[in-house]
Amino acid sequence: LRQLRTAPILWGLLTIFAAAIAGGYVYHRLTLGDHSTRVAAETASAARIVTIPEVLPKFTLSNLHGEPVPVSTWAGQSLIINFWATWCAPCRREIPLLKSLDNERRAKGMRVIGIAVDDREAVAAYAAKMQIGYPLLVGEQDALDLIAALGVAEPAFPFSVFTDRRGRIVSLHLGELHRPVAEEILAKIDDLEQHQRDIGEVRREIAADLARF
Amino acid sequence: MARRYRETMTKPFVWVFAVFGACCAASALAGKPWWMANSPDNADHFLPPDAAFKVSGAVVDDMLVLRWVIADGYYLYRSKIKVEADSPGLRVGPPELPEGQTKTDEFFGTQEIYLQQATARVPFSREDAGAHPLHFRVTYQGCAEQGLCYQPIVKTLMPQDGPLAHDSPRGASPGVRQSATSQWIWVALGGGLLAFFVAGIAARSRRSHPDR
Repeated sequence: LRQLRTAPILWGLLTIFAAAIAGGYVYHRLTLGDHSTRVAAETASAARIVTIPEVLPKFTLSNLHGEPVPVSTWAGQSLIINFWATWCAPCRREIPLLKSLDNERRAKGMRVIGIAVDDREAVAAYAAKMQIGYPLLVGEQDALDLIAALGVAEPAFPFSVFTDRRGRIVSLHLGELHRPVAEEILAKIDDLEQHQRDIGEVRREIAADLARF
Repeated sequence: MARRYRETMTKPFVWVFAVFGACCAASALAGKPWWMANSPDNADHFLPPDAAFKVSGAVVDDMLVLRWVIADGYYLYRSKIKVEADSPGLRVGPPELPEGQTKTDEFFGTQEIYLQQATARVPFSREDAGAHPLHFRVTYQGCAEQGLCYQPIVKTLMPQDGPLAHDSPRGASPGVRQSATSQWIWVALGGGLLAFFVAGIAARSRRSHPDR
């Protein structure tokens, strides 16, 4: 008797559940305006997974004078490696923040390194105008290869990679950086260094923070 | 009572619903699906470039007609659109671009941008008597309002295949994840609630019909 009564209820509810999801999906698709864009967005995202490497890849890029500089120059310091270009407005907008973070934290063993995927002369002119005091490297295909190695294979600017003193990547922030987000990530890195915390745990906390911002 | 509870909890479907519901609730709280909740990046705040700017081309009345569909919160720079010939014997004229909307920032002043969609008409001529397939190289560049600019995108379009030929991606590779956080939250919350509801009904019906 019990089975006769509960089984139909369960199956009925399951059907309602499935229908609700299917209905919601169809409604979602119909209300989104251009259908083909939506399809593109979904197929695109399905194949794309960002895999951030555990540690910063070794690389050498040239500075504003054209001299090769290996990233090991800053070994033992925690880094914000900022990828940018002069043609990108949000990149220009965050430069004052990067300058002050570098000034405030240089004595504590943290540096900002700018990597411009751009024309050297344009970068040198803008760096002089903005009085950028942190080290700047410039690259074209070599810098794009580095970006791909960092897991961002379709380049977009700005983005910043945060590492600890051991060169482990703690976070990757895509888009313009604002002070509250930067401070939050840097505080987590300080915590990681000072209390020898588990890096996986710190990354999870940063993931939660980034989802909130 | 304890026996009934035990009986209910040994039913596999109750566990399936409970686990599914818990995962949905957890991911809704984290703002991301549970399988990507632990990545210390914010890549899912932004669309991949090919989803933000979807281009297609067609040949209409001896003109190449290009159409971009631009996602909400993204824009294309009018001045960065460029069309070149990419097959032998093809000559491409300057594209006719509609007027855009104006956007002013502190660095580049006032510029024309396209929101939502843009259509360009491009005159061309061929000197190969149709011997080669038509290939056009289209370059465009855009940004997200939230502060991210994509590297200029270069696509080769082959519009001879039909009225809406699609782009052939150059160097297509994994990149930025799609932003679906807000929609996901509602699906997850709804799914989670329904799952708990069903599991609750199941447990309740067990209690009212304990006979086996």
